[in-house]
Amino acid sequence: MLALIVRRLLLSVVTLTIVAVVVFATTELLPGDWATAYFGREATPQRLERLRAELGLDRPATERFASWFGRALRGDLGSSLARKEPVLGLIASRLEKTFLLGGVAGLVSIPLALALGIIAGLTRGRRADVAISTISLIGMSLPEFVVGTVLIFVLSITLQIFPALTVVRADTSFVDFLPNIVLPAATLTIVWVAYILRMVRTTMIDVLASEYVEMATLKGIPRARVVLRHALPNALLPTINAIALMLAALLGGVVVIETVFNYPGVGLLLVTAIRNRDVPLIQGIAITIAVMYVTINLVADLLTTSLDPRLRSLRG
Amino acid sequence: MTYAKKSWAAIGLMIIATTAIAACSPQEAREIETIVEVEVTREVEVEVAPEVDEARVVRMVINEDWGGAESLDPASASRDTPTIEMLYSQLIRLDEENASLPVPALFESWESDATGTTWTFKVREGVLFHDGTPMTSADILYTLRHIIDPATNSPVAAGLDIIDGDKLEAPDDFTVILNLKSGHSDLPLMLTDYRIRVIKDGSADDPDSPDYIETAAIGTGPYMLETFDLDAVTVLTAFPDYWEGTPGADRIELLRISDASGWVRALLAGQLDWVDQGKIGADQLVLFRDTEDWVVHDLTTGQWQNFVMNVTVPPYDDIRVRTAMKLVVDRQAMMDAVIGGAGVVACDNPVWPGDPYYLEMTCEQDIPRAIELLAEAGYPDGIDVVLSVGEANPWIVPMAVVYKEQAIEAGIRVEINQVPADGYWSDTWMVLPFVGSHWGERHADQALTEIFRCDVRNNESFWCNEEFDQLLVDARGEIDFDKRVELYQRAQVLVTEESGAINPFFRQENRVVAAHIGGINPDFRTYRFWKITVLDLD
Repeated sequence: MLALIVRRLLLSVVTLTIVAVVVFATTELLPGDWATAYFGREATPQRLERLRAELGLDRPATERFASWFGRALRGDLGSSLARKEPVLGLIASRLEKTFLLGGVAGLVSIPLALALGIIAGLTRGRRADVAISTISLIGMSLPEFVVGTVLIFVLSITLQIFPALTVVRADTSFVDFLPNIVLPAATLTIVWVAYILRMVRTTMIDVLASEYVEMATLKGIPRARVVLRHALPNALLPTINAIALMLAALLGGVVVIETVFNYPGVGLLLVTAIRNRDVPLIQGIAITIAVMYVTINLVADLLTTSLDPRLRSLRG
Repeated sequence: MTYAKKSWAAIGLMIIATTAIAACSPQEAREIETIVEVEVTREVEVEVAPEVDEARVVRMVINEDWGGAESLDPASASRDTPTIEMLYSQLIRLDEENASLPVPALFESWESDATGTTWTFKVREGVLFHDGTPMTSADILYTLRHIIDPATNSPVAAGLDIIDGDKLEAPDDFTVILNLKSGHSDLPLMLTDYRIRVIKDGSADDPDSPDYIETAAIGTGPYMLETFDLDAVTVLTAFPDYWEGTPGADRIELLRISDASGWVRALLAGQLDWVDQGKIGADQLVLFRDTEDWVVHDLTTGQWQNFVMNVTVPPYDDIRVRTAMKLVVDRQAMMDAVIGGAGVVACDNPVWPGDPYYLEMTCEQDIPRAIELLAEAGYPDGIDVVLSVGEANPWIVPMAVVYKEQAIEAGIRVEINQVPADGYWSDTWMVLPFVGSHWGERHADQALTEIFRCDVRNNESFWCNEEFDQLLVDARGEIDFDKRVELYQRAQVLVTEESGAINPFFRQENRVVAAHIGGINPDFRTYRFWKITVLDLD
């Protein structure tokens, strides 16, 4: 188990380094930099030169990356070019909001998806399953921004129940902030439920067709007990990985959802950072997201391993 | 069948739970709404001193995005508009109904010597800063020095370089004398730039601190800073001692909404009261026209977007080619196609019809003449050109498509090279020989000087004509208005005939305002922030 963890951690470091290089190279490939974004058409060669020299942007790309990487290894992600504030602090305050959004969506969608998935699996081919499956397929095929826009149209514009965009004063209390979460969280929930329940349904069907379930049924164990004690635990295992992937995908999906709802999370911060070529901020966010992606997957794998006696015995 | 019943019960429970959760928040939201409505009514009737919850609030959107580099220094390249417009007052501003007429603000009156070189301004007395101190000529000199200072990097500095920075004088607390390097009869008009706004003299506090202006944000404007928020809502409160009177709203909330479609959603959902600057596209304006909740203001402006040929690069160095390229444009048709006709035809003239120096011209499409000119220039079989445009503004690509269709009639084969909007101004504009561009409305002198004079940085067509440059110098030095009109109009003829700029039309601008917002004239682009108010619609 320990060897597995160590090996996975080492692999993670490699992954993160690759991410850092790719993200940096991409920002270099984009036309323009912070100086040209800042001055726009007011830019003169002298102004650009002065600003670049001031911020050290005049150094060769490799040198800039090396110095950034060196500091990053020590946990210093540098300062945002636009805001002149430490990147870590900016990300931390925005992550809070993103986690809140993801947390609410997760709390609603995971139980809902499990329940619906199990029902669909049990009633395979019958009316309940057809209804659930059809709806989930629709949910899966609609992009987040479409779902979000429809929700805004119905619930904010037509019925005026929830705010369409998150525009709250900095001193807004947590309770007053909550209504702003409903629509983005609902959007996430719709998309997630669709994905997870498809996963649960499939594994449930597989497990129900397995020999040990048949065995249990033949032994005369009541159907409910067969489902809850024999089928469900086995069906849940692959689902953990699916949920982990969902959580990881959240980090990509938030960019779209946060833009649609103007939600002040890390995704919106990333969009602004890219628009203004704020490279340290882009790098910082990308690395943070990558770290979380890797961690979530690692945790999910460890969880599956520890829950599944068969995998545990393989000794990783 | 028992399991099925159980699961249906579970679903039922879940639905009930979800509904309950959802129902809690909307009730809250509704309650808040009701409170606001009720109290606005009460306040208008009784006129009690407003408290936070019963305040008359106007919610506007921030126009520009500087990615967190937003500054409260009005002279900064990344100034936060319109926040700075509410915090600080101008020296001289444009008339509310005549956008070409400079009228007094903090400068109460002015006069110049016979050559327009030395200008004496009388400073308005009794104006207070937000911290209660009186505004005097010292603050104005501090402001002007701050703008001219190269370290400020102010985009306004170039325009003010005619002012001799070493000879700014304040003989007493309420007089300012400006000495110009050369005469300029329209100096007051130049001083109406929206970024020239008086900040408090900070030299006593900490003259070297660049943060001084931004952190203090002390001006003489109608609203004072309560919170400056780079992420969401900047809050301003009314300044009761504002020099023109008590502002019409108690609080202004300036919202940062990251994308333009978000503005439309926010307006529709009742989260936003005001979107200015024509940022809402014509296709979405229909949502707000002829409704009870919103009013759309259609405003004639001098905003334009153009194609620019570099006149030093073949084939555009031949004036016959340039003229042919201009003659092929059917301007009315292009305007109809691109902005649904919401504008005024321009004949490549950067001076707009609302300007007192504007010269009216005609510019019909003339294909035979264009073919003839091309043949004379040595292109009897037509010519191939590459037009590079980026989505730096939403109209330029459609314009290019229309141009391509119109130009082909005269044998001008246009290839459209669409480049990214990012880095457009550094990598494409004034780099490639035939490009798209756009400009905001500016008065005649500024438009002609900043974009067409030989030596200026923005001379985008690299056109250089000594006669033209001399006309501008003469016009600035001419005290007599009628003679000045003549000089500026001759300059306009030269620009339209010779320069490399093709400006087909000036576009109309729109403003969407919630019906309960008053104090603004729907027919004019210029307005006074302090007059904006919340109406009692019941």
